[in-house]
Amino acid sequence: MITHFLGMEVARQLNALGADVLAVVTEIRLRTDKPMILSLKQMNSGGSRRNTMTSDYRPSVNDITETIERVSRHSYYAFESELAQGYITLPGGHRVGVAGQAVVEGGIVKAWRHIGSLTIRVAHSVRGCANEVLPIIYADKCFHNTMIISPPGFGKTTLLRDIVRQISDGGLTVGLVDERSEVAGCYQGIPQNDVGIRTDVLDACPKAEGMVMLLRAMAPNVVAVDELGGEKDASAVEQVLNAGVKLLCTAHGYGLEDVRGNPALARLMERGAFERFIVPGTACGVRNSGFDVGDSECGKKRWRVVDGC
Amino acid sequence: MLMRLAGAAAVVCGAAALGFYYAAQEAQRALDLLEFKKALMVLSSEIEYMRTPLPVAAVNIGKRAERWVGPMFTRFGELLALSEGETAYQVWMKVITEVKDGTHLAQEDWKVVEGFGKTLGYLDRQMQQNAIRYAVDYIDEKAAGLQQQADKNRKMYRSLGIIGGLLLAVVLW
Repeated sequence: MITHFLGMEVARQLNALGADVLAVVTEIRLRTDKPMILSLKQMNSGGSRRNTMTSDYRPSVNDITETIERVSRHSYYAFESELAQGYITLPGGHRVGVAGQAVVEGGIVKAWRHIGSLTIRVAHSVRGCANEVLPIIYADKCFHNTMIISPPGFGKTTLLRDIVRQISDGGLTVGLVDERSEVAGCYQGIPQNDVGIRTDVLDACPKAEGMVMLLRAMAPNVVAVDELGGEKDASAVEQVLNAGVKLLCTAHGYGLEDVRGNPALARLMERGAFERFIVPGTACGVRNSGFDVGDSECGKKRWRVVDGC
Repeated sequence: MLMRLAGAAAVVCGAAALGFYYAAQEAQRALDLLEFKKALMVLSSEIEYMRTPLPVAAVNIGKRAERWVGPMFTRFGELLALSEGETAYQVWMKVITEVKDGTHLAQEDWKVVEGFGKTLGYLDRQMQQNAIRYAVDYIDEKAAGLQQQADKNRKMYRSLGIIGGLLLAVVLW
């Protein structure tokens, strides 16, 4: 349970809310001296909105510091590089984002002097959420190079995880580069989330290096990677495709146009690197109503698959 | 007469054993300290090269270290992994109270061991390494002094034990 990784007072306050609330928490926001705010998955009436809940509890500086010590598993030194990027991943793939006063050296954030807010995003594996899209991207033992595009919090990582699990169990060897430990949620190198029986995970490994390493070392049928974006990533993707290995990846955006706006990814698209794009279906109203991204039950979100050819 | 002789021999032997025991005690304290230093050196490389999280590093050290240090680190790692809401320092102090009696360390040594616990859990790599170095420096200095002193005192305690035993036997005769 996630409260195991939090400071004593924060855990106590959360536990006081009761098990049924904790079971549907998707996000916990802690800010020094400000009320704790929770996002909850709405379970009843098939509603399509996320609930938020503002608690009376205001974490003190000490509560935040204690929570930092515990989320870093008493090993701040071990998570320096992750923290410098603004987050720590917990066993189970939950991600804790931090914000505060940065210590900058040579233009790069090296550490945090004071951490004032924490956002804890609770990972949810949704088995079977890829059922609808799977026949379109993986048919007749042939996997099509696929990119999942969606805004943050919509469930692309969840979908990626389920696709990886299903194609891996279905017979393809998958090499997964899990730079932020979100997909497989590795703890001490062992995936905590089910990512299939034929999946090799490069945990906490930079994407570009990881993709090339997998090619050389693990002979995968499919390389899976979360959140492509940079120039380096794109050239690694080219190497993967040149080697005849299939690719499954995700990118931030609301649709194809957003991805075309990223020069590195646009180049790949021009090259015809992707055969399938999975984008949020219009039915769930992403375009129409801004950030109201619908129910968190991934299966109900009705993804749309666009043919890239 | 025979009984007297046997009694006198027992007194001499007992006193001599006491002398040997004291001579050994001083060296034990140095050995206890040096074992802790060994654990700290392993911790230092676990941090520097592997970035091993503290609970795992502690259990790893516990497997390799001897004397009081092995069980202490194993216990520390296990409690830390299971702890609910406690800080590393709180767990460290809890473990110290458990193992304290079985060691030869002096009060001033415990101050350093406890002080080291205060640095655990929230420091970045460089600061954690500095904290380790501080503790290791203390141990090096202390252990060297103890060793020297022990060498000097060993002979004294032993002869004191034997001579004291003989004296007591003569007086009691």
